Amino acid sequence: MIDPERRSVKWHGARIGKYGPWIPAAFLLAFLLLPLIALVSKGALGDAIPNALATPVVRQALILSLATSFATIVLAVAFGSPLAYLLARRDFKGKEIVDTLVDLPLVLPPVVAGVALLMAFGRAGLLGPAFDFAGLRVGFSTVAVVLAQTFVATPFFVRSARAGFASVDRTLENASRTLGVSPSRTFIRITLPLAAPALLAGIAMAWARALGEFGATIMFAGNLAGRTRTLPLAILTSMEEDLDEALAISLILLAVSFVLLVIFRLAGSWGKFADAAR
Amino acid sequence: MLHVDIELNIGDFSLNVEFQCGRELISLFGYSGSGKSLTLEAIAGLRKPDRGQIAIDGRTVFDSTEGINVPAHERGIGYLIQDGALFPHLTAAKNIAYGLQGLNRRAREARVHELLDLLELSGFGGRYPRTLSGGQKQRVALARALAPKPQTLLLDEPFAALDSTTSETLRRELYKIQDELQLTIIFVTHDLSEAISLSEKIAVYDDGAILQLGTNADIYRRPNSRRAALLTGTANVIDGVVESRLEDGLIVRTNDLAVRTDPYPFATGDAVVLCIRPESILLLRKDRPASTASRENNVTGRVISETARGSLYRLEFRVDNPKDRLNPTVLEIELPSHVYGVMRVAEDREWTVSLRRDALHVIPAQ
Repeated sequence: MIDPERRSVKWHGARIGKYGPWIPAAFLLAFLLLPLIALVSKGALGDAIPNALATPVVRQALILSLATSFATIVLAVAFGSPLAYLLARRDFKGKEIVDTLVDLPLVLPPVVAGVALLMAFGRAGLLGPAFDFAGLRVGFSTVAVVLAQTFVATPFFVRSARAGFASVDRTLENASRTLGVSPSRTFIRITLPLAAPALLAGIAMAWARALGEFGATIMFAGNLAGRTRTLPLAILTSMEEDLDEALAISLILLAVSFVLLVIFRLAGSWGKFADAAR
Repeated sequence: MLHVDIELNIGDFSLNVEFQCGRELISLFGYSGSGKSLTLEAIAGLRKPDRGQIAIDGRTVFDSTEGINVPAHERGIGYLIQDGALFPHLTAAKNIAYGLQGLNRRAREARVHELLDLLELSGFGGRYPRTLSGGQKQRVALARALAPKPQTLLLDEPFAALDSTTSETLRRELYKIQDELQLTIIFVTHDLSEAISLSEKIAVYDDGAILQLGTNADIYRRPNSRRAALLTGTANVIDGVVESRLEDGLIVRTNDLAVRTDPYPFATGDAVVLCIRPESILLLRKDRPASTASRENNVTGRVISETARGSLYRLEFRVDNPKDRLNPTVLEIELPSHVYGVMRVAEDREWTVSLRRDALHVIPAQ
């Protein structure tokens, strides 16, 4: 028996089921993409970028951003890798607490992080007298920029590196040891190469976060041209005088972020490739 | 030469084993979780025992009283596990060369070449593990373990994940390697037929201890306990009493059987357990007289159920006139399928079977 009405209802239902999710998804995609399109179309016009790059203040900010974020990554890798390894491979008392502590900067508003850093390392902070005594001044210096970035960006690296170390099959490390290779050489020849995609992804994410750091930097390091004014701070400064310059700097940051995102995705697919090999 | 005498506790589980192994292949057989793999990990130096000694070729690598614990990378033992644990980021050749650190490049390449040939992997040296079949991966893993020329090789179910043809080929190659190189090989398996086809000695593991260590024939025909009998597939384990001692053996009486056995050191009245493997029970042909040996220990009964198992039939055979009607003696009998067909067991259910004395084994009831 054919019931025409019933059939049409069914047909409608199937169509809604098939295409339904696309409608809200398309709205979201448009919402995410539109500002970027606007930024590119407004900012890329004319020679805003070359002009901006010709401005000493912008060049200074770019160099400062690259230098401080690079220093941040070096610190994150140097101190974050051992912690990530411990979290992935060892059981110790208070591991959960350490784990939570590592994640804390991810949820902490950056401005709060900046205030907290100031209270710890600033002149009036906990370690202020000690630093004063040693003749060091951390607050409102380039060092403060690096510390602010390290504080907010390192957890991204640690989380990814931890997952990377944890994903390396221990039977591989055991096999290496029974083949006469010491634990430290095993780490270099087996663990590190196999965890490398995750480490790289972690570096890309932490780097992106460090480059975009704004709140903690402005609170803890201030906005001093040539010393603490990184690209995000330079955008804020330019917005008040020269919109085109702000747009140009934004585009520069966008380009760098995009490159990092591509690295992140590539590292991710490289990781899948290595996994499939097992 | 390997000497192992260790105790290792993990949570509620306790491993407590002692054995020695010369330049031979010993199988550790038992269910998973019985401590076989743990034993290998302890020998390899990947897990530290709580007490005991391990000596390899006269060199003590572990001694709890003297505080000796040589790290895994200094023990010089080849170790191979079920999934091979090949390094996914290295080619087959680089995997094999991995343990050859002391050699110069030319010697290393020569050794890799030699091993690729030995394991019939020529032409696969440049391939990454993910592009190799399961059998090829295990060959590479075996080659890698053999590369540094260890005198002791530990194999943890190395062929368990492979199809039967591939594992059969690899078993034959392993046998050949052992024959040529005269290594000490410990082979862990949960498959008794694999243990029997590979080794001359088997250790039966159960719950962290070695129940029995002996030759294949010992393990197969002469289990030393009820538990060992059941683990090794002796399905017929029947309680009885020694009724009398004869010049050439015993007469053992069970609920429903009275059988003559070979001589065993038991006294009249001793409680014993009678063991007979299902494939050792003979169905007597009705169309011709039985041989002398099969005329002994005859039992009449009825086939009450059967299961086809490929080349075999497994029968349940209930003896006639049981003493306890509710709990009659039921023998398990295994019959080759062609015999099952020729003798028409499917139609004819009443049979006389022989529990030949050379197939009967008697152990104490404990």
